[in-house]
Amino acid sequence: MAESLQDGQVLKVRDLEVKFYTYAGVVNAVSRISFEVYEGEVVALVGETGCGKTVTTRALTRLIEHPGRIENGSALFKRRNNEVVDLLKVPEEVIRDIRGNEIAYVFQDPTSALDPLYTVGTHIVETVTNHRKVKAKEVLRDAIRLLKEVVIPSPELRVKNYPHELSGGMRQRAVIATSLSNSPKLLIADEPTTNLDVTIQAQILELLKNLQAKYKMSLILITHNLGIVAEISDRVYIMYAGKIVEEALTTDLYYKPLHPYTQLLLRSVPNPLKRIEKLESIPGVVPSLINPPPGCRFYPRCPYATDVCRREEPSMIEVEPRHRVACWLYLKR
Amino acid sequence: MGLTTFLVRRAVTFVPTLLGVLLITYLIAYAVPTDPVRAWVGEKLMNPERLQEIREKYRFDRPWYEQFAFLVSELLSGRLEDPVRQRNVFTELFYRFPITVEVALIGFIFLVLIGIPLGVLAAVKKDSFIDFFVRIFALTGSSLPAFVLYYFLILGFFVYTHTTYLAGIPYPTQTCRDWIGSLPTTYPYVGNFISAIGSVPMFGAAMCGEWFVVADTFKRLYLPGLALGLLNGGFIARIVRNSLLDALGSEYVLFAKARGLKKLRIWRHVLKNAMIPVVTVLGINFGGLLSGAVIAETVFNIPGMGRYMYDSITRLNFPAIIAATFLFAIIYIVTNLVVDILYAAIDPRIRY
Repeated sequence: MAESLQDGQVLKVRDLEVKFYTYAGVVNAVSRISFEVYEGEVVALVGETGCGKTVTTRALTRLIEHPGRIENGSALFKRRNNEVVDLLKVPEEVIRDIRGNEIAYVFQDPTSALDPLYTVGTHIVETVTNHRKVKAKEVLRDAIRLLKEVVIPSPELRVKNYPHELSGGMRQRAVIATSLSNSPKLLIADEPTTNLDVTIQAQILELLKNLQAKYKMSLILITHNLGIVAEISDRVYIMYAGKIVEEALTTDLYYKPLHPYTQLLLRSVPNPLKRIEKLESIPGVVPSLINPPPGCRFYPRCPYATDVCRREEPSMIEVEPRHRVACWLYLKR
Repeated sequence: MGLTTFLVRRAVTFVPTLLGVLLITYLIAYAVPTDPVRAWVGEKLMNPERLQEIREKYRFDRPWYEQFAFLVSELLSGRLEDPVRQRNVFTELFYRFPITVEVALIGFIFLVLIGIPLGVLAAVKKDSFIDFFVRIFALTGSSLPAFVLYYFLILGFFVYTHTTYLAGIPYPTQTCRDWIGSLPTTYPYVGNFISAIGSVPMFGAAMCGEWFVVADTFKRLYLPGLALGLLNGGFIARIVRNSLLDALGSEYVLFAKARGLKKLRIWRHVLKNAMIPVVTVLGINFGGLLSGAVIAETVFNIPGMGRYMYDSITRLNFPAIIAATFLFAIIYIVTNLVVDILYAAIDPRIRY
């Protein structure tokens, strides 16, 4: 299927499916997900823990490890030289060259993402020299510039520091600097503030937002925190149990959430646009992904559930311009 | 804090540790309800005057702390006598320890050659046949009585195939030994050190270029070395496997992949991290090998430290036990020190 990218798209994922073959059974971590990312855009991927956000983004550069397997789908990506490739099908050397170079990651926990035995500078230098033929010395100068860019004080000294000599926030800044070292086209930030002090979180977010604008890159932000989403993202995908259930511009999502799950989710966190009297929790639990319910996956917890929800899976429909949802409430009409 | 401060601080604990080890060893020996002097003299030479003479010499007519003080002062001044062999214990140690060094070194080479590749294989092919085999191998190594393995090896490599021999230890020629012995006088300080290294027959021969002696040493000692390697290799392999798997499954390795690093580069991260626990275990094992392998030395007929210790214990030879223990304590302290320094060299989180 020769699909191509539309104007301004960097990434177009279609029907991505990832399964984990565990002893307990086959886990359908990601089931036929489709989404796209435009140039210079901040896209948020929102969902509860275990809904497949991380797996989705890791599948993009085939970082899924045994026993996980990418079963299906395509991920068209526009490379720096404007060549369009399917990330899920290109040879191993090509994907290796794209990783950390054109698509870079910022992981959740900066403490474990950095190798404790190597300095911050080494991390940056090796990331660059693995993709381009440059002298390590020149890269080191560049590393200092990068550390300055991510607002690390006295970067000339900090390049020589080991991860354990930095605070948590500093470490995440160092990780971001490492990921930016090849000026990627697409940065994937996987809950970049979850393991940080609340006071640092806002700083890191602002930093990411600024760098995204400065480097003109696209940013996929994974989070379970809708507050963060409102702050920096342009567009949002809501994920539930391995599926995308709603897609909207950020403002639309807050003004008019369509999917019952999104509505409940918004009532469970402080809403920046509406005053809510009392935060509510969503009753029930996330279904097991080993045997997901046959119909809509949210059906067991949904207050509006009807018969058809249990039997048949709803497909994504565009309810309003650029606002799509997978729910029988809107399909029926 | 620098390396010097660290070494000085270690040196301060050195003396009390040694004295403590000696005291405990002595007290354990002293607790044996028997008359060591009779055991020393032997029936042929036994007469009341001689017994009395030895008793007085080793202060057996005095309280235990005076005996202990006597033993320690004789030991530290280098005059302590082995009452069974009736010569200076240091003569005995200087003869035996170099042989043990040879066995330990060859054993260590086998240990590394067996343990590390097997561990790497088991980690890379986790849950495969080889992984299972390594588990069984480690289990067998630690539960099989050592002598059973040794006799089977002798049966295979000596009785049936004659690839080794079990008598004597190859030494360099007399001229070579004389030359090494003369080194301290020709070159002060440095000569002492080189001569000490040269006292290990294999090294001495290498210094004189007598390579056939070195080859002979390997021919004579590879079997006990292999035996020691087989016995502990499985254990080392398990440590290597587990620490490799830890490193392979870590976030920093995933992040290294996500940064698009080449395979070789990723393995550098993995191996350096996995090395830390392996270095400790290997260090402890080497220390253990240097204190002599009692059963291996007995079965393979090697006159090393292990045999000396065994003979001394059976003859209640307290002075010899004290002297050998003293040497073992020094070996352990030094190997621990080396491991700690290596540690800090690998891991920046560890400072002295």
